[in-house]
This record gives sequence, structure tokens and C-alpha cells, in this order.
Amino acid sequence: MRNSNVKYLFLLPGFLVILVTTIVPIFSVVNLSFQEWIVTRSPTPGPYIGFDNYIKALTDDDFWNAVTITLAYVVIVTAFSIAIGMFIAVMVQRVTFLSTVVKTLLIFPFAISLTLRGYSFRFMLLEGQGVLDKILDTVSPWTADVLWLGHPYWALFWVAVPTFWAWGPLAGLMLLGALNNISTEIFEAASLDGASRWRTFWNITMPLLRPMIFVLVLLITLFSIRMFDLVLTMTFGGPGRATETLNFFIYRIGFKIFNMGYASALAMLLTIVLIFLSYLYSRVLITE
Amino acid sequence: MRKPSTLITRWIVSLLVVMSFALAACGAPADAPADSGNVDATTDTTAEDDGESMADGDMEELPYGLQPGKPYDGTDLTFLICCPTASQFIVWADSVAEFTELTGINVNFTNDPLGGLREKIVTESLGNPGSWDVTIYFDTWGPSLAGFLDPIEEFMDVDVSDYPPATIDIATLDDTLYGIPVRSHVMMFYYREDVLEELGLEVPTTFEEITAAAQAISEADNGMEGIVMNWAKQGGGISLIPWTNVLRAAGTDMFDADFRPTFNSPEAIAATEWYANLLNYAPAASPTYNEGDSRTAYANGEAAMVFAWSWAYEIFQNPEASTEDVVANTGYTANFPDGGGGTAPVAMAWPTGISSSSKNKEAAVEWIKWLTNEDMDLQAISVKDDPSRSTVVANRLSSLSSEAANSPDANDGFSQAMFEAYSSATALPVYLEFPEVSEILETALSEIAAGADVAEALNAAAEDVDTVMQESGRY
Repeated sequence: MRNSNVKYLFLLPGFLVILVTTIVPIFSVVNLSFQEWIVTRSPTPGPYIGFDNYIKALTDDDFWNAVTITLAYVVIVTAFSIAIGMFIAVMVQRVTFLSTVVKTLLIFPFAISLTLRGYSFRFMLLEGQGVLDKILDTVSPWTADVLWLGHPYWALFWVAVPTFWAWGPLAGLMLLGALNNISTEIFEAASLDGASRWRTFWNITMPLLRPMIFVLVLLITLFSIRMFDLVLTMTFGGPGRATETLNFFIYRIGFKIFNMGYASALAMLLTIVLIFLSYLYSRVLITE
Repeated sequence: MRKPSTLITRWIVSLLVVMSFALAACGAPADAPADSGNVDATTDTTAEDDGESMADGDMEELPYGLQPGKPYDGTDLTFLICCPTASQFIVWADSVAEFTELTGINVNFTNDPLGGLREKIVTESLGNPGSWDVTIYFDTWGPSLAGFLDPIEEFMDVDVSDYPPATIDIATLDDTLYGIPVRSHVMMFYYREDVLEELGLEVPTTFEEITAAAQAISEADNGMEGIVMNWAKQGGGISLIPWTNVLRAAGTDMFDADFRPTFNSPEAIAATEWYANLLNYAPAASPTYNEGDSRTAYANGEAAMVFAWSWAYEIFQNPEASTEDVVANTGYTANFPDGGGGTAPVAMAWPTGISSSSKNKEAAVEWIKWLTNEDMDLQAISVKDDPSRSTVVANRLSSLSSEAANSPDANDGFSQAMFEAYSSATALPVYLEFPEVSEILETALSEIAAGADVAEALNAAAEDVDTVMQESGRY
């Protein structure tokens, strides 16, 4: 009994740090979300206005634009990450030579900071000068006139690229782990029954990987729904508002327009979504 | 079923692990010392020695109105600033040692990217009052930052007679001078003399001539486009500046006297369409270029003409920052192309600002006296020994019109051109709703650059701006 109490005592300082650095700011944001406060008009928060900031969000075209852009971004990142990850997992599973080196290199893109990725891709896509732009102009000459980061649709795709460029290999490693856990006897049986490689992959491998794929979808969604760094470094939300994700929209409202009350309400809306996704993720993990 | 205590323990440990990673990833930015980055805080001999001892800071009279006797000895000032590689700022940083020797006040430069400087001023003032003492800020930010600043008028008398009226207007809010302009620019039109000459073109002076010249240059087989501009969203309203000049050159403006939008008037739409049409003769990436990108494009020889601030001349004359051809052949004029409304350029200024929550306001005033002294203002533009410390930025009319600044060894007449430009230069509109309005307008310009209809984009922006103005109670 005494041992049980002592261990909580040791955890107390850390818990106090969490309280001060996380719990208190969250409550502060919740409180602000019910107040009217444009910082440049008043150095102190204004009156309580109930749910006006939340209602404003739900009737704000820019908010719904940000939601739409974020959803599109998440779909692009998740789809490409899973597809690339599956491809890598299937290919690397067959590689025995230098497999450890290959697996280590697969982590490398994820280790590069988002800011560095953003600036690198921005320069690589520079029209007429960037190496990536020149390669694309050669490989697909019909896109030579496309200004990748200046086009409303292509800009969003290319903001997603540095994300799934990093997540794809990581997803591949995770899927590879799941693949290696599948008994080889199943594949041997399928082979004996005359199943083609594609049928084996589609009817056996994919269903068995479904739990891991679901976990990856959740995880990638959790991370990419908060996208900010790449938007800041590559497009600043432009052209127009074509790449303004929800997190960037909140940043713009809070730190460019300085409407802290409204930005707090927006942040709470995003937090609710993230909490729901985190709950789903934890439930899946517990079930596993 | 796991025991509750096990679950609780796992939950707490998991949270602690996550928080420890998060805290480790977040580092409080340290105040930059005066010699951070490229800055070398060496002793500077800016102040003229008129025979009096300046090194011992006792009750001897000090120059520039600095208080003798080192009453603020040991004070550490935090100076919020951006752009550590700007020549003028390097000159300032170099002078800190001498200032410290005279006054005992140490000045720590805290550098932030330009795009984040306004946020830094606001968030530090709110979340950590007293963390900074002096800053410089964009003129258009003035009204929205006024709540965090104390007017300089409360601390010292300022003789404004030696400053261009446009820059003093910008630094004045509600008839109160908030800061002294320490970094002033006027919009210039730069062009490649060699390229124009090769194609038999005169220096363009009207909208039509600009278009014709840009087209001719782009169509010539010289690997160069006619003109480059900045259209990309950058935050802080930077992309609005050349566009504002275009509107005024066309005889219109962004707002009327009551701050009702006029940027969507037929004249303004026509002027914006002209400006957007120039993208046909600009580098393909121009719609995504911010201010720095467009300057770099000209410096790299990608385009033959550019609208840029007067300070950009430092870059275009620096062989380490521009090609040989650009250095040797850049011409300039402060006469903005005439679109029917005249050739007056736009001027802007960065005033100094004293934090209203600073605990060292009197010491901050001493630093401002030092920054704005006439000797430093003149020497900064006259001495050209080191390209990284070679600037054309001066704030005083006496400095700009001086022989020293305009000698062939210095700026070879460029400072005089700036002096003359200031006589007709107009200030950018300064108003409280600038943060919201600039976001709306930057977005509209960005959409136009991506191909949106000019009238549609500007009309939609005008509706949004109207809403902002009404909500703020302006009308």
C-alpha cells in the first residue's frame, strides 16, 4: 500500500508541469473563445459574448473553405501514403541484400523537419528553374505551362507531397512489420491452389493488413489534419485561399488579424475533432 | 480486465513521456546578442571627435543629446528587429560597442523574420510584458501596435524639419509622433540600361511604354523577361505596396477620405488589369514571387525591370548579390510610370517604438537618440569600404542631399534622386483595420495572379473590406 502511494508522489512534479503547460492554457483558450478580443484594438480581453465566436465560425465562408481544403489535404496525404507504403512493403519484403540499410533509409524522409521539406520543395518547384519542375516538364511536356504552386488545385497537391513523401516510407516500414507477421503457410497454400500474385495480394494480403492500414489511416489523419508548416513555407495559404488549411486559418485569424477570441473558438473546434480522432486511435490500439 | 491502478499509471506515464518530448522540442528563444549571425559588434568611429573626451562617459558633455554621467549604466536593452543581413542594421550593430562605452547601456538585438516581427511585438507585449524595450515597425502597422507603444514625444523633443514630410506623417498617429523614422524608403523603378539600349528602347515613363518595353524584351532572344513583380501573399501587406503605387499613378487610390474602398472603381480595375497583364512578360514564377524573390530575380538577370524600394539599390550594386551585368548596368528613376495620375512614388518608413511595458524607457530613449543621430545617418550612406555594410538608407534630407553621399565614390547621385523623390512622395494609408484589410487585399491580388477576374476579385474584396470597416465602427 505504501509503495503504491510513493510512486504517485514521484509522478506528481511531472503532472504539475503538465497542468501548468497544458491544462491551464487549454482552459484559458476555452475561456477566450467565449470573449470578444481583437488584440490590436484592446490590450485586454473584451466582454463575454456567449457562443457568438462559434456561430461566426459556422457561418464563415473562409472557415468552411479551410475545412474543405483540410479534408482534401488529408485524403490526398492518406491515400498516397498508404499506396506508397504498400508498394514499399511488398518490394522490401523480397529484398534480403542490404535490407537493414534499406529499412534505415526509409526513416530518413520522416526525420527531415517540415520546414526544411517545405522550403526545399518550394525551390525545387520554381517554374523554369527548380529541378523538379524541369523533370516534370521533360516527363510530361503538356504540364510545362503549369505554375505548380500558383495553380489553385495543383498547389494543394504539391503542399501534400512533402507529407506523403515522408509518411509513405514510414507507412511502408509499419506495413512491412505487419506483413512479416503473416504466416508464410497461407501464401504457400494460395500458391498451391494456383492463385496468381495479384489474387494473393488482393484476397489474402490486403485483408490481413486491414487492421494496420486502419491504424495508419488514423495516425496519418491525426498528423496531417494539423498541417501548418508546409503551408507557411510553400504557399502562405495561397494562391488566394487555395491551400489555407484549418490550422493555418486559425494562425491567420490569431496572429495576422489578431482576433484572439475568434481564433480560440476555431482552435477549440479543431481540438474537438482531434480529441475524437485520438479516442478512436486509442480504442483501436487497445483492441489490438 | 486491467486493474484501475495499472491503467492510471500507464496513462500518467504516457502523458509524461509525451510532454517531455514536447517540452524538449520547444526551446525558449534566447535574446540574440548584439554580435549574432553576420553581425560583428566592432568598435565604430562614427561619432566625430571634436576634442572632448567621449570614451570616459563622466560628466563631460556627450554628443547627440545623450545624458552624461552614465545614469543608466548596466542597463540591458532588448531591441526587436528583423533582417540581420540588412546593411543598415549591420552598421547599427557595429555601433553598439561605442554606444555602450559612452552610456553604459548594452543593447541586445533580437532578430525575427520580417513576416513574423509584428506577431513577435504583439505576442511578447501580451504574454511577456517588459521582454523588449525598443522595436522598429512597418509604418502601416502603427495604428494596430499603438496600444503597445509609448509615443516618443513623451520623452524627447524631435526636430522633424530634416525628415521628409511623408515619413513623419506615417509615424504620426492622432497628431502624436510615435516614433522617429529610422529606415525610410521610396519606391523606385529599376531597369537594365544595356538591355534597353540593345533593343533601341527609351526608358519607359508611362504604363503603355512599360508594357511595350516589357513585351519587346520578353520576345527578344536574350533569355530574359521584361519585368518582374511580387504578387504572392507574404503577410504584413507587402504585396499591396507596388499595387498601391499603380493605383495612384492611374489617378485613383485604395480608399476615399472616409476609408470607403475605391480600389474596385473602374479606374482602379483598369489599372490593376494593366498591372496583372505585365505577368505575361514576367518570369513564369512571378505569381508566386514575394518581395525578396522579385528582387532576387532582377539581381540574377532574369528580368530587365523591377519596381522595388530604394534600399534594393544596395543589392543591385553589390557584386556578391547581383550579376556583373546587373551591377554595371542598373539604371533607376524615382518617377513611377504615369498611368494618367502622375509619377509620384510611394514612400514608407520604419519608425522606432518604445514598449509601453518597458522597464528601461529612459535608456531606450538614449538608444533612439544614438540610432537617429545625423552623423550615423550620413556616414552609413557615405562610407563604402565594405559591401555588406554599404547602405543607401538614410532618413534625413540633409544626408540625402549631401555631397559626401552623392559623390562618385559613394552613391553617385542616387541619394539625390531619393531626396528629390521625397518631395512628391506619398505615404501609404495608415489605419487601425490594416491587419484585416491587408489580408483581404493580399488574398485578392494572389487570386488575380492565379488567373481570377480582376473586377470580380476586387469587388468581392471591397464587400469584405466594407464589412470590416462597419464592424470596427469606422462608418
